[in-house]
Amino acid sequence: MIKLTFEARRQLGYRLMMAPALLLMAAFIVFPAFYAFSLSLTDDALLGFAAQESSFVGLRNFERLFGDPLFWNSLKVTLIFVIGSAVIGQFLLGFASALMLQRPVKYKGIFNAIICLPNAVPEMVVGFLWISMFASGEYGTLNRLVAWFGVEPQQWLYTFPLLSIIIVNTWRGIAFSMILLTSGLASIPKDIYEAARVDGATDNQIFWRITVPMMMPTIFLYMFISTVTTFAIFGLVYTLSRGGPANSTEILGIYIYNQSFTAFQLGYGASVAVVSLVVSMLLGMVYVKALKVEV
Amino acid sequence: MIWTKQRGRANLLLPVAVTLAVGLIAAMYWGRGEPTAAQRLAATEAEKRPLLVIAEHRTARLQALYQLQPQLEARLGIRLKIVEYPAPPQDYFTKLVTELRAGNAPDVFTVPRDLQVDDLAAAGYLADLTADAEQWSGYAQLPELVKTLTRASFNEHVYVIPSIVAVEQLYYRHDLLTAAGISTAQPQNWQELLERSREIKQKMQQYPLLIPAGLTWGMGSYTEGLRYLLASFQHYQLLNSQNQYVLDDNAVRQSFGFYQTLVAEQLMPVQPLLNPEPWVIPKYEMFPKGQLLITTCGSWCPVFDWGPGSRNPIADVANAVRTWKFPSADGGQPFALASVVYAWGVNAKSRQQPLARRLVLALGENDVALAYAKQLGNVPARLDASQHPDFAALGNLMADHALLKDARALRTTVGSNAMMAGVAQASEAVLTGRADGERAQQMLYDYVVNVLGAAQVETPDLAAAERNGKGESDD
Repeated sequence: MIKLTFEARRQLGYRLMMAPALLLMAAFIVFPAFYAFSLSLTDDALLGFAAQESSFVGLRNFERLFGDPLFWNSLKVTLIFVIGSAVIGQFLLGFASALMLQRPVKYKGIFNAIICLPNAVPEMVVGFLWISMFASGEYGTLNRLVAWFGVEPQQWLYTFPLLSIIIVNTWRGIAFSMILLTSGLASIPKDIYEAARVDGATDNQIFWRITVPMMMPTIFLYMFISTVTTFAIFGLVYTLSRGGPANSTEILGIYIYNQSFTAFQLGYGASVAVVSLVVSMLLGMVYVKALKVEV
Repeated sequence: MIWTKQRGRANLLLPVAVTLAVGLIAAMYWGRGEPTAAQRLAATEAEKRPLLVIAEHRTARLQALYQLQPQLEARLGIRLKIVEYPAPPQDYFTKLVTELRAGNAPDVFTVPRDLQVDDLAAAGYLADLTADAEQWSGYAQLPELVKTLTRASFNEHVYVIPSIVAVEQLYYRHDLLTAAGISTAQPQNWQELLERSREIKQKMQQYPLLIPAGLTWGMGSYTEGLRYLLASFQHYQLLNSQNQYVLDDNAVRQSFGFYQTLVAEQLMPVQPLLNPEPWVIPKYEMFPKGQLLITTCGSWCPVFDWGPGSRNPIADVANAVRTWKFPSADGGQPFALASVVYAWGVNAKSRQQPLARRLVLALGENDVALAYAKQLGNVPARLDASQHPDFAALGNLMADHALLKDARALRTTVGSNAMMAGVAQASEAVLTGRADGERAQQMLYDYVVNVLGAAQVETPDLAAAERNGKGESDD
């Protein structure tokens, strides 16, 4: 019988404890990713002869993908959507909310609840709720509001499609951003602020020279999580616009769905998914590198 | 634990509420009483009958099937489990296809349009019904065109049993054109249709014509749009003798060119076609309001889109809205299009093959077809339906049924989804001004070659050779 040292037993214990999580990750994340990659090298489809017997096509799907203007449009729309809603919208408003709620505010609980409420509503319900808000004609909620200012009824989702979905996703994601950034703010030692004030620092100086630098790890962590999750959004935008009008809101998730389940080209859809995964991983790597910031 | 008055009250209320709820449910259950011996026997007998699962969707179709269910169960000695699928056609089809692929689809289901039969059959999802159809008396009663559309183009086997057919034409506002002093005579060719449209634009300051196009209209950009234009060429067929798509053809170029004219002269509303649900504004709002005067549509439109039960009904729709056949592009006769819609298919993996086959044949009978046709605004597929006592109940649809014999259709083959996706992209490029007719034709050709491979599309050289061959033989 092999005798293990105390350290080896401890390491083995760690590995055994991690095993269930690793197994689940392998089954539900790693295996599907490899399966998608293998699928992307075939002409597999849900309809036609290829559905019965798909064949290996090498990199033909990727060749087609990189020559497809709709794919590039979709990638561009996705990047604008991620930057607009996650990096700018959710972050700025979430940070502002977190800072405001650090101060003594009356009815703080109510404000907290109002900000957190959108995150409690399922994605599809949010979509339908905002369809009602953006509805064209005089009965749309937003049109009723702007009518008070003498503005004619608009077709919001047609006239400002990308901006509309950015606003909705920003609205939905503020809560997560606020919670994470609040925890970051809470972790900054109070005595640093007190020392700064004793040294005569202004609020502006305190914010830019203490709060922001001390918050950098949390900010990058938030950016990392929100970028990757926003990149993978599907239901919200699908409910709101289905990618239209004229592909103006066709983010990658919708493009993949359309290719796989509307055009029924599984192989091609998988190749888009693989490229999407690679882009997400690259963005993730950038953030992980940035997370090693030194304050 | 601190016992406050409020918490004490809450703690008492919960068990009381639960007890009351349980009591109520129990009372309702026991209140139903014991079934009689005869009822138990009947229930046991019914349980013994084999169960068939059938997929159906959309309220009108479901209503028709629920009405027919007892009759079908008694006729075939089966139990039917009706599974309600999503209403939008694309959502229905996607769910159905994914279930067929996964091997857990219902025994019997409908194929929304004839041009999907080839793709489903090639994928091995549909049972071959050729032998059943040949022995079925109803098959002989189908018009030749309908028979063709029930067969897969790659092996000429029958895969679906048709029940109803959509007859598609141009629908125009007869009341408004008459009031404006504009002729309502049948336009004989494209030129006449364009001239009529220009006159409408000039005199009424409204959009004259809608021929669906664009990405968000999806497959409708072909089925409700480009198909009309392509079919108006007498000698054009979408498939050549080798079952390849014929996309490098003047008919295709000229059809996209027709769109280009409509867009350039603002004869067609373009902006609504770029909306997520592009049919809503032009068909359900502009046409009833008289802001759009002519549109392509099917026999169901006066019932669902503008009938008394629709969202924006047109008063006295039967007289206010009338039909023109689609005019010819090259001197032929105006024509109506026919599509086999919601034909019944049997899941190739169904464990109840013989019964499922009997069920689809029963669903192809005239009484079933008439019940569906009346609910849906379509016409029965069989010609002998006109001798059925219930035929008169179809009202105006009887005239559409009479058009079946001379109606046209364009046959498709495997890859129709890719072809339709290509049409949607190319027509959107015309709508947004990114392409003219010629460029749009090239976009369609390139897209289909890219997706399906060059072998499934006729090459320009072959097209020329076929044309020359035809020319020589014609001479």
